[in-house]
Amino acid sequence: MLQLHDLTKRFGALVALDGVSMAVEPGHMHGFVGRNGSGKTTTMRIALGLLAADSGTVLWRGAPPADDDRRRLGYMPEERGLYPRMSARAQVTYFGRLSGMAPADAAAAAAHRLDELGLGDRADDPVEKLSLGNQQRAQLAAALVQGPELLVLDEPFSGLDPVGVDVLAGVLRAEADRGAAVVFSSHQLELVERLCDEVTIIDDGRVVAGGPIARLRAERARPAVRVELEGGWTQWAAPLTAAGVAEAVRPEGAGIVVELADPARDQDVLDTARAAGRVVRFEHLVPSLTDLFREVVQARPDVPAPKEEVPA
Amino acid sequence: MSGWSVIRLVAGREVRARAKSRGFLVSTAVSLAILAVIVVVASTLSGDDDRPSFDVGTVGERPAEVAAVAVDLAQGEADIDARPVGDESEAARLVEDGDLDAALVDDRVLVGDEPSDALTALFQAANREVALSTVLHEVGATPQQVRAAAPEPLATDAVTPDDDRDERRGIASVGTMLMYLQLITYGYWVASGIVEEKASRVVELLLAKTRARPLLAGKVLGIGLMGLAQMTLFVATALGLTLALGSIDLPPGTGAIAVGLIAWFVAGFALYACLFAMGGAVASRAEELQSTTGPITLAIAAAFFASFQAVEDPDGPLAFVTGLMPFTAPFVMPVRMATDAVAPWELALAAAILVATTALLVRVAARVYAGGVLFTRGRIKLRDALARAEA
Repeated sequence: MLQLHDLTKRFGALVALDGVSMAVEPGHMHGFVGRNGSGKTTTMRIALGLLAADSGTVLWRGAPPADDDRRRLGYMPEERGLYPRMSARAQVTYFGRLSGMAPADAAAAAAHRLDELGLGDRADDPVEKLSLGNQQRAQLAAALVQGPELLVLDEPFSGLDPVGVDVLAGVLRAEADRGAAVVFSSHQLELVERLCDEVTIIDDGRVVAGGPIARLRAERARPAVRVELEGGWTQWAAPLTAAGVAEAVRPEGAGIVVELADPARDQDVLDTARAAGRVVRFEHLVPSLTDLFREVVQARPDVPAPKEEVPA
Repeated sequence: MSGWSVIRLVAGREVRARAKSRGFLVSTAVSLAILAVIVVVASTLSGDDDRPSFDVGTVGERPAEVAAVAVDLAQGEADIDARPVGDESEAARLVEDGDLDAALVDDRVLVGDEPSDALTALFQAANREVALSTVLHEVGATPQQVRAAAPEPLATDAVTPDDDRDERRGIASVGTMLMYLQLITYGYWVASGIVEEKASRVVELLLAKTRARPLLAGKVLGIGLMGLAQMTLFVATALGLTLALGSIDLPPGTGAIAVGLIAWFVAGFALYACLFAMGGAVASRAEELQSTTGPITLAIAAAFFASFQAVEDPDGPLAFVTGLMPFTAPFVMPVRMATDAVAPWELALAAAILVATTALLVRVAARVYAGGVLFTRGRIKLRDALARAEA
């Protein structure tokens, strides 16, 4: 559906993008994660034709997007914006018209979307009179009005309360199920992990990991086990590193996490633990997206990982 | 969807948004009221100067007949309001109080302190005519003969050169004043409309859907249509009211002056709107508009002042040059057209230069717009905006 190939972009001396490639498929939800300033918004703007890349290509269904293609997309920019003095209904209808809908269709679609998002009774108020949450809903309605084939959302979850997050997640899921290609950026990695089947991780203008989350887990994360002994004793694990069984050992909660040098040596860890005391817990760790993110982004250890639950 | 349908959509939104705004409605109403007051005051003042009017009383049958003839004779020169009064003493009292300018009693005229020579002369002529027609009737003359004995008063013809030209020049210079105000007002609207979209970030959504050029064209077209409608309303109101009051005579060709003025407004707006669009695109907040559009406002004021010399000397070399230059032509040409000082080829050339300049500026403005509207962190330099533009 949407393919970005080897995009580069400079703003003066600043290299914003340095060879970004990614693909978004119809019916899929694609998470786009990275630190602030890593190039997410620039990538999205180039994909939408708002900015021109210095080099690289943007393809829709295998061809550079024409003007008519651009009308079949829904976009929610990071910096939300609607006409302050226009009613939500009028502007959602207006964006429907700009997307090529006939007047009656645009009005009907606007009413439907606003109702669906719970704005029906405030739809005729000027947007500036709406609460921030409702403004966000109006914004989403404007992005969704024509039933877009590609939905691009820049930080759609930021500023939403938990109920709003669930509503938005449901709407996006429904759009993907309808067959739309959905791509959104977010700092809320657990949310991305829950909603998306594919992810692209970008850092310093470069894609550092990308693809189905399940595959990334299998490929990228170092195998690890968590072991907990009765009484919370942890000293037993210290020799594992020296013995070449573990890459690293770190305490976590009442137990200890052992990153294995070789996945096959998990039983050696268990043997050592059993020799040291009574094992109350032994489990293989499935790396979370947060773990993956830390691993690929923390190539530079001075960089803190993004906060998980605090919206940017 | 074609570029043209995008332009229409965008223009339609502009028109609806403006037409609904209270600011627009109030300012239109206030301007119309001011315009009406000016026309009414001007009409009243000139009504005083133009024709004297007299109140005349008559006592008896023959004086009434004389007064009626005097009213006829005075046609076009003075307004005489004649009415019968009871008797001589009442007539004398009314003249003394100043309620009547004169009274006709039998074969005498009662006048006050400052008798009007013109009125007295009218009465004498009317008296002779009445006497003459009575005699003619008595000797059995036909009605045609009676009429022939009382010919139309001699017409007066002023031998001053083409008086109308000055009046037309005056109308055109009032028109350029109106043009100046409309260009600044509506040009500023273009700039502030753009910065509003920029500040509210809605422009990013718009640009994701469509390109910068139809977006900009639609905005300029929509606001321009509002300006055109308002300007036409003002001109029509001023001319209509003047005609209705009837005390100022509009010279022939006034309609053509109005049409020319409106046509040059359209052309001038297209040109200056491009500049204002750039002024809006490089600002990030409404507060910055003052400085980014200041030079444009100044340029319009300079062009307006340039039209003053054309009013003074529409045939001079300076008027010729400024009439051709695109930024001054909208102000100078209406004046030159009104005074018949311009040859058709000059008009065609000026229009061609203006259109060509506008076509060029549209491209530059669209580029600056495309490069500037997504840059929201403060004011952007014109050169940087051009460099950021996609194509």
